[in-house]
Amino acid sequence: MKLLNKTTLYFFIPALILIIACGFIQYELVNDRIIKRVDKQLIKEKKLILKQLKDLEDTDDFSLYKTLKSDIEIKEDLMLKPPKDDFYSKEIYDKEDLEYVPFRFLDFSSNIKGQTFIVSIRKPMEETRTFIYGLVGANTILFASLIILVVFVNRYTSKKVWEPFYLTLRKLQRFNISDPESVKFSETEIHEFKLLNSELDLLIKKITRDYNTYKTFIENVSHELQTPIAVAKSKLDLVIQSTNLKEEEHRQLGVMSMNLNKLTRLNQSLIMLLKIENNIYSQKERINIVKVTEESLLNFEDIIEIRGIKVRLNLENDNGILCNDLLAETLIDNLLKNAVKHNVENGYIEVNYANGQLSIINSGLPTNVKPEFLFERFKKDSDSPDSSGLGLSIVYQICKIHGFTVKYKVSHDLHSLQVNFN
Amino acid sequence: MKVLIVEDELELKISMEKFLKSVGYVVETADSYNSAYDKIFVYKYDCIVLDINLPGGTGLELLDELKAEGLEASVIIVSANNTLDDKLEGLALGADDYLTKPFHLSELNARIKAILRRNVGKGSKSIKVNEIDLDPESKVVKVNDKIVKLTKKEFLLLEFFLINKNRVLSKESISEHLWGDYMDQSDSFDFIYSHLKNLRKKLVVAGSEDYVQTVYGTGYIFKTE
Repeated sequence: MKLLNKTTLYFFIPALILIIACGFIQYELVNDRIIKRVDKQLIKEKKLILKQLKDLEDTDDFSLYKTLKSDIEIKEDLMLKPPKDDFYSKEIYDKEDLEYVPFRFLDFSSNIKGQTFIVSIRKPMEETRTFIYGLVGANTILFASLIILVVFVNRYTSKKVWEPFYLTLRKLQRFNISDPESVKFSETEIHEFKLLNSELDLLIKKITRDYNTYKTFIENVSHELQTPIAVAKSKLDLVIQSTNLKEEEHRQLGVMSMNLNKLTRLNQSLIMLLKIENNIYSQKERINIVKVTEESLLNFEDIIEIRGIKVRLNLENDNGILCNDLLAETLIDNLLKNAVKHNVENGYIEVNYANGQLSIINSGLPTNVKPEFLFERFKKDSDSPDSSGLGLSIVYQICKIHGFTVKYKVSHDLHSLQVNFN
Repeated sequence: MKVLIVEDELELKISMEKFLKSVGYVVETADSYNSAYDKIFVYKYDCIVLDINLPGGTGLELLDELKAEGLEASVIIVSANNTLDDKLEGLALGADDYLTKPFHLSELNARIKAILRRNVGKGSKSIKVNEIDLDPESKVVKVNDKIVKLTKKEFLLLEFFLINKNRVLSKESISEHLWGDYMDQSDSFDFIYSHLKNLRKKLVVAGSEDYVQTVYGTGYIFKTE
């Protein structure tokens, strides 16, 4: 969630609750006042009615009175004890308007000719209700528009205030460790952001320095390793010529030879990776991917045939992509090697190329490794101890420096690698 | 055949010298730019194995001098630096081949053989071992003058064996010779085995003796002695 949205939300939610609460309280307060006032009027009326009833008691006009006063209801009280005054609100169905209309009632008892009657008087509340609704509604609208205004003003000012921060953020997103010069933070008047920028500047300088030290170290190690490996390899080649070696000794030499070879390949891959990172191969030319793919496939002819892998090619020629020639070969080699290596007996490989989009789909074993991890160095499926774990890193690195995108997808036993050269 | 090894890494130089001597070359060595320079212009060599990084100068400079003087020696550049530029520059300066360290001695031997054969008059056109006759140029193999049909890989395998006959060849060196880096080790051993089985069968059927022996654990040997 964006900072701006977060702060807006922090403000908006309490404000919303406040509006609802205030509307409710306002309604209750006004309603309470009005009812009290109406009740007072009802009491006044009660007194009047009681007086009128008193006057009528001696005459026989009681029943006439009952019928004349339409808003008074008088009925005999069946209870023995006379009830106290009872105020209440109730809605009555209006047959003419076909709707319920609110009323305020007052029930009280009166003694007429020795008999207790319940007298129920009422006052219509419709106008007051309309008034309250109108009042609360108007206030709510006023309040809500105030809040919305505040929110917008707040958002606008926040945006202004946070602008240097977002600028810094965008610069950081574009940061590339092999080109630290690309990040230059712009000036800002806000102290905190000024501090942030200068601290980030320091951090980047330090990271770059550490990175370069580490890179130089790896480079040196890799290059220095080449000679001792070469010496060891040559000695091993000589030792195995010896005629008086026992079988067990040969077996051990075999293991040595195998591991030395592994070391050789690992080191060579590492050197390759470093060279790509260091932009050694920066010279670019138009490369025909179809041709490179077809040539690369020849290298795997043997293994493809022996393992019974079927190859389907759908290659469409185009006017080539801009790439370093050696890296283009390395890229395709590594992709195909990956598809061949992690394939199954009698599996298949499908290579599609059209309009700068290459996809290599192959059958294989399901893997637990998350596809995106496979591009990381030394990340590999534990089922393939023989693989160096650098092949796809090289692919990734080549794509990265050329601005190609590469995706690895696995769905059960189907592996697919897609490179977008555009 | 006279070979000069120019290499400053002592132990590697000794290994190369030993191996090449054992396959029948007359071998001399030099360990710096100056000593190599002296030898090249005093003696005549058929092939020079040249390291790029040398004390006192680079192998490429030496190569330049050598070609400028019009010396006919074939040159194989050997370098730990696997950059294309070095390779291209070396080949442009007139080197015959380029080998990246670390390499197998059997591979070096095969490369030297191939170069000497290519450079006219310095090697016989075909490789003959007893009844087997392999012509690298036309890719034809004959046993007792009868043509044996081999696949591309079987041919490469036989050629590698013949050049390094009576040497134990590790499976790794065979794999690298046949497939370079394209094959994984664990796979390649099975493939070598199956190619070799077919090759031996074809040779024996054609009337050749079965010279190939398995050296348990390490690899194979083409034994004629």
